[in-house]
Amino acid sequence: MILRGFIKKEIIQALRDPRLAVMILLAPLLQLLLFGYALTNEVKNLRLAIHNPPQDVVAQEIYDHAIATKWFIPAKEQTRDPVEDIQMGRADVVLVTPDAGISTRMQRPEGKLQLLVNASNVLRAQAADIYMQRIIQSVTQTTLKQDPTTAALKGIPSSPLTVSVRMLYNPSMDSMTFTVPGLVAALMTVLVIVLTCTSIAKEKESGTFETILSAPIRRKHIILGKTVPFVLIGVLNVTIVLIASCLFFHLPFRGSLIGFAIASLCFLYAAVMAGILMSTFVENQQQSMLCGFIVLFMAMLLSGAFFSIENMPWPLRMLSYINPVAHYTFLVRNIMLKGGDGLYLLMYCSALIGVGSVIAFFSFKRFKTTLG
Amino acid sequence: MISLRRTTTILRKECMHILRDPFTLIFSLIMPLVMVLMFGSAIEFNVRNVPTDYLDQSHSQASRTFLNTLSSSGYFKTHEVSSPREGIDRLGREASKAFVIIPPDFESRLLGRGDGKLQILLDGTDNTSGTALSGYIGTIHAKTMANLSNDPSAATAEPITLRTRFLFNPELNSQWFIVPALAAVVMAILSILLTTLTIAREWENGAMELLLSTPVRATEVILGKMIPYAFLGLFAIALLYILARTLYGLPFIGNHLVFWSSTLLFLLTYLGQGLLVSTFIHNQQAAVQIALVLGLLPTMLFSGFIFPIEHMPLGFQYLTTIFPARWYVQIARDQFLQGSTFTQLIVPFSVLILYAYVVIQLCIIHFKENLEE
Repeated sequence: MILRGFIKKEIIQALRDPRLAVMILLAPLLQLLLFGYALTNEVKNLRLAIHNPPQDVVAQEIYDHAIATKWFIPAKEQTRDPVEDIQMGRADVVLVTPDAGISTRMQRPEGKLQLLVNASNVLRAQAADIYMQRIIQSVTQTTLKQDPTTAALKGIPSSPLTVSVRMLYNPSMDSMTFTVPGLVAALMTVLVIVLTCTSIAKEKESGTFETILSAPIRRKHIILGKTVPFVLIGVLNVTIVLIASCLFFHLPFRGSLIGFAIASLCFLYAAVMAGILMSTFVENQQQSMLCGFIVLFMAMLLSGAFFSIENMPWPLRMLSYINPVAHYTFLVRNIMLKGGDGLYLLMYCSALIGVGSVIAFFSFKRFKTTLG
Repeated sequence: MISLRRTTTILRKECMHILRDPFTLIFSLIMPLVMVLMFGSAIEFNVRNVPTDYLDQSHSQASRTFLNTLSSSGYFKTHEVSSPREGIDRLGREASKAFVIIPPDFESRLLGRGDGKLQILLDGTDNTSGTALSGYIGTIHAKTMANLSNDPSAATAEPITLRTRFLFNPELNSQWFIVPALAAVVMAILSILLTTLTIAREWENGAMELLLSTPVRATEVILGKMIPYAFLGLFAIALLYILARTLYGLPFIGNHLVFWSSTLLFLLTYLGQGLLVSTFIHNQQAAVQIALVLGLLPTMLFSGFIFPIEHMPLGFQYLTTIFPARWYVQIARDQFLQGSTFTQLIVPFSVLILYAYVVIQLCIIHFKENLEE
């Protein structure tokens, strides 16, 4: 009975503040759109220049093919020196053919092409190399197929080994498919932890926390009252974000909604508890924001939402095992893209509950209900 | 006229403020350290030891050669499964990232008819590592051919071979890409926190009104407040520079004068921006919020620090030009790895100078208004 009244007060308080309502409803949507559309890690617009003798048919074909893939765009006017073109920022990638041209060299049969890449951006350099390899492969294959009798290509063996690579779950290698499920987890984290923590910090600052403490309610009621509303807000929000990501980004949802709901509830439990724990360290809203900023920054960096955890050194990988955001990111991605294997879900959900309970234990221990 | 005495008095007062508050001082020394270590080790674009399952139905010399080449490449860590079903299941619960299926007739077809076929299923959810993996597979394909024929020249049996030279970062070291740009993020956090917190605090506790009632001029206040924090910021970047050179072995090909003058310009712009925000908003909490949105977010997202500008839609590419961080990141990265001359960097430099000038002028004008009220 007491609990119901307390929760009702919290919900009214949370929804009364118009800034909060905006933060709950609008901010996650805006961020989802921003990250989904503008901040992609899909490499494109590589400026390609080519240094070749005029009658080099094959080199020209490689170039045209490269431009047609949309990964490459033509570079601005170019000079004699390919290295200088890159140094001066006129091109990102320069394809250099042997002096006599690649068409004639292919008869030998060794057509050596050199690719100069500006590697000051690692991501782009890596992709440029791979893209160009694929383009050359497909060009040689089509040239071979179309015109197997051409003198220029006679005696060139086609490789006896074929390796066919199939991309599962994301055949078009779309970056939104990777980022958006991670974003769902990241947005939920920010919202729920910050809301929980600041709501207590605000009460501490304005002095109303003491009123609550002096009221005849128990510690567990205060903690429940301070968490249940934010779990509800979280549920509302995860629904909005999920619908938006399927609607705007045409993401598949291959798993079961029930599995997703259970995973989200497990995560929300860990998140609100983390919010409560954080609030026990802060005295005012200012500190709550700074603390929240630092903690969330680390939690998101190590969550795998933006950078894959597998590539991190082992001490950081260990940290991700106790990071609820990392678990939830895995879960959302697995359920949405891969359909969610039952055993896997069970394992990660129980990990979330476990981590959440440890956090809850410390929150209860630290949560003071006495003054001074 | 600017009075040197009044300026130094404010400067001295500000220095005492910094020294008296150990939190600020420690924060500004530790923060760059932690940022460099965290970002330097957490962000790695090169994929290694990818858990890979294989199903070898051929059990032949040829299939073993392929699998050996795969596991000795260092990119793949192989594990045998007993059925296709198990392999797919393991992909589904993230136990592996790749699944190699070698059919029973692999060797006979390869040697007999010259069309040996095998299939690799890759987990494409992470498109970046998926792209990298498909690239490695190309290399392994060529190496297998060489190993099978015991003839290294067979690797070049493809009619065209591509030799790629990575300029400026030959080993594609991820840290070389991340750490120089971190300088912008470190300065953004420092200047936002320091200026907004200290000045907004002075408004909040009334110390600013006391200062305004003295015969001090706007320019003097601005200078006196900026110089100590500028030193603190430069010190933090020096720390970052030393870490970058020693811990991550970054080269520094450019000109120190170019790098440090651009750093100073960027720092002044951001300190000025922090001051400006805090002269408009006299409440600490609101000041921090606005400063985060105006300073830190663009520095993280729209500067090319992690998300390359070239990948954004055109409208966003134009949007990035209004943020000074984008121009500073360009200079910093260039000076570490590429070493362009001052004349080649004239555009980003002019933009930084313009920004620093405009922001500081705005600060002075607005402070004057405050003084006259």
